Amino acid sequence: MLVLAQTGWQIVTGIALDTFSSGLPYAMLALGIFLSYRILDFADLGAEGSFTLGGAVTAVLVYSGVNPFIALLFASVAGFFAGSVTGLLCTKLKIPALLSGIITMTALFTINLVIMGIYKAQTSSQPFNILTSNTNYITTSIGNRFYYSLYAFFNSTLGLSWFKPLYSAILLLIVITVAVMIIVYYFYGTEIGMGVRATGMNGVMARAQGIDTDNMTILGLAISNALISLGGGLSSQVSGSTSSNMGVGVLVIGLASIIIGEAIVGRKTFKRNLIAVVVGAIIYYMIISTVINTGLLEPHYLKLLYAVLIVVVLVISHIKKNKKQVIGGNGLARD
Amino acid sequence: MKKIITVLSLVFTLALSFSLAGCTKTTTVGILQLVTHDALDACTTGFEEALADGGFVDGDNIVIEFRNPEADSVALNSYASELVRSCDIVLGIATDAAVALKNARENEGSDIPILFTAVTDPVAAGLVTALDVTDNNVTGTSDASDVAKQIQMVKKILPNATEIGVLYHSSEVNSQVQATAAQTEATSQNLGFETWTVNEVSELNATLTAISNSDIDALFLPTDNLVASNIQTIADAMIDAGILTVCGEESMTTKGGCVTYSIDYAALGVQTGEMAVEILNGKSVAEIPVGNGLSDLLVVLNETSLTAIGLNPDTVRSALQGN
Repeated sequence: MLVLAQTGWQIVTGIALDTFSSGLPYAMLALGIFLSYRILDFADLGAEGSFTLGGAVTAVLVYSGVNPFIALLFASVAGFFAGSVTGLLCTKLKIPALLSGIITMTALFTINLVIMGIYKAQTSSQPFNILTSNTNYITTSIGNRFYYSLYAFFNSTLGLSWFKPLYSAILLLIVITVAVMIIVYYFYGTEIGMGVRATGMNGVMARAQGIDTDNMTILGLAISNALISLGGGLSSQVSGSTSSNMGVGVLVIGLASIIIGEAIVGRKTFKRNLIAVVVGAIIYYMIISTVINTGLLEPHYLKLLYAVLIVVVLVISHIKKNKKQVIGGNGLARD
Repeated sequence: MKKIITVLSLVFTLALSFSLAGCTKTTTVGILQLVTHDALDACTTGFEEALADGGFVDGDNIVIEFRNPEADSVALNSYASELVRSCDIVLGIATDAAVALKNARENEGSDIPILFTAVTDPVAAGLVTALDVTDNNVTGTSDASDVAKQIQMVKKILPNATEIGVLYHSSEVNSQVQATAAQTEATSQNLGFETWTVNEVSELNATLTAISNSDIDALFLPTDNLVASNIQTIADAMIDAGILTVCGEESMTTKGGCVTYSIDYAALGVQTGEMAVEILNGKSVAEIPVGNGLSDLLVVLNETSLTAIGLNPDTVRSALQGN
C-alpha cells in the first residue's frame, strides 16, 4: 500500500510540474492573445507565426552564445515588430483585420524557416531526409536555458541535490509571468494604455476624443505579439526544442485559456481579467496533463477533449451570464 | 478564489484516484513513438521482438510502457516526462520523440539511458556528440540513407552503363549535398556524370526534354521536395526515353520511379532492441556507438516502371539482392 501511495504522489507531482512548466509559457501566449482579442477587439491570426518567431529567435540567439534572458528579450522585440506589421497592414493599407493577421502569419512561416535555416546550415552534418526537411528543428542544450543558472545555484552552490532543473524553470516562469502581468496592468492604466483600450471599446468614440486609433491599434497589436513571442521563446526553452510548426494550434489554446479563465475567475475588472487569463491557461494544462499522466484517454481523443472542454466552459459561462447581470463586462473598469 | 481551489482539488483528487494503476517493481522499459506510421510501427515491433529474444519478456520480467502522442506536441512533452520519471530505460522513435525524452531527462535531473531509432541526423538533433561518441547516455540507430549505395545500383542493373545524371531543385542545399555525393560515387565507378537543375516547376518540362535527348543510362533523383512532388511527370518522361530512374526514397519509387534502396525499419528496431538488451545486461551506453540501417537495406522496385523501360523486374531484383 505504501508503494501505491508513493506512485500516486509521483503522479500528482508529475501533473503539477507538467502543468506549470508547460502551462506558464502558454499563459504568456494567452495574455498576448487577450490583449488583441479582448482589449483591442482584434482577432489576430498572426499569433501562430509570432509564437514560432519567438521560439526561433530565442533558439538561434542562444545557440550563438547570447545570454538566454537577452535572447528572450530579443524574441519579444521580434514579436513587437511582427505585431506592428499586422497593425500597419490593417490601419494604413486598409486590409481587413483577419486578412492582415493571415498575411503576417504566412510571411512569418518563411521568415521563421530562414531564421532557423541559419542555424541548420551551421550544424547539419548530413543531407536531411525528405520526411523531416520541412519541419525545421533546433534543440537547445540545458546549459543554455534561462533557468540553468538558478538550478546550478540551488544544486551546486547550496548543495540541494533533490532540486530538479524543472523546479527552477517553474520558479522563474512564475516570476516572469507575474512581472509581465504587473507591467501590462500599469501600462494599460497610463494615458496611452487607456487610449489602446478605448480604441478597442469604441473606435468612433475614441477618435472623437482625439485619440489616434490607427497608432493605438498598431501599438496594441505590437504589445500583444511581443507577449506571444515571449511565450514562444519560453516554451522553446522549457521544452528544449523549436520546430517551424510549433505555433500550429496555439490560437485555440490561447482562446480556450481566456474563456476558461473568464468563466472561473470572472472579468469584472482589468486586473481580474489578467489573472483570469493566467489561471485559465493553468487549468487548461492541468486538465490535459491529468488526462495524459493518468492514462485516462488515448491521445487520439485529445483534440476532441479540447473541443468538448471549450463547449462546456462556454455553456457554463452562458448560463452564469443569464443568471446575473455582469457589469463592465469588457474589462474597461479598473480596480 | 474559492472556485479555483475547488477546481484544483477536484483535479488532484481525480489524479490520485487514477494513480493506483501502473505501479511496478520490475524493470520498466518506456517506448515513446511520435505518431502512428508504418515505418515507426515496424520499429516498435522490431524493438519488442529483440527484447524478448534477449530474454526480456513484457509482463514477465520487464514491463513495457508504450506511449503514442499522435504528434501532439503538448502530449509528447507530457508523455516524455512521465516515462522518464517512471522507467528504467526509454526508447524514442523519430527525432521529436527522442529529443523530447532527452529534454525531459535533463529537466527532471534524471540519468536513465535513452535509446532512439528512426532519427535521420542524431548529431544535428543534439542527441549524441558524434555518431561514434555516445558520451551523454544516449545512443540508438539512425535511418539516414546512403547516396553511394543508390548509385551502386546502376551498374548492378545495367552493367554496360556509361553515364548517369542527377536532377534537383537548385535552391535546395540538401539535394546539392546528395548530388555531390552521387558524383563522387559515379566517378569512382568510371561513370560519366551530368547535372541538371531546375529553378522552378515551369522549367521542368524543358529540362526533362533535355534529359531525354541526352546519352545518360540512368537518372538519380535525390530526396528533393520539388522532384518528389513532381515525381510522376519526371518518371513518365524517363520511361518514354527508356532511362532508369534511381530514387532517393521509397515513396518516389512507388509513385513511378524505378528502383531504390529503402531502410528496413523493422531491422532498425531489432538493432535498437539488441542495444537495449546489452544496456539492461550492464553494458555502458558510451560503449555502444550509433548504428544505422545500411546493412539491412530493402530493395524497393516499381515493376510497372521497370517493365516499361524493358527491364525484367525479377532479374533486377536478383541482381540487387544481397547488396
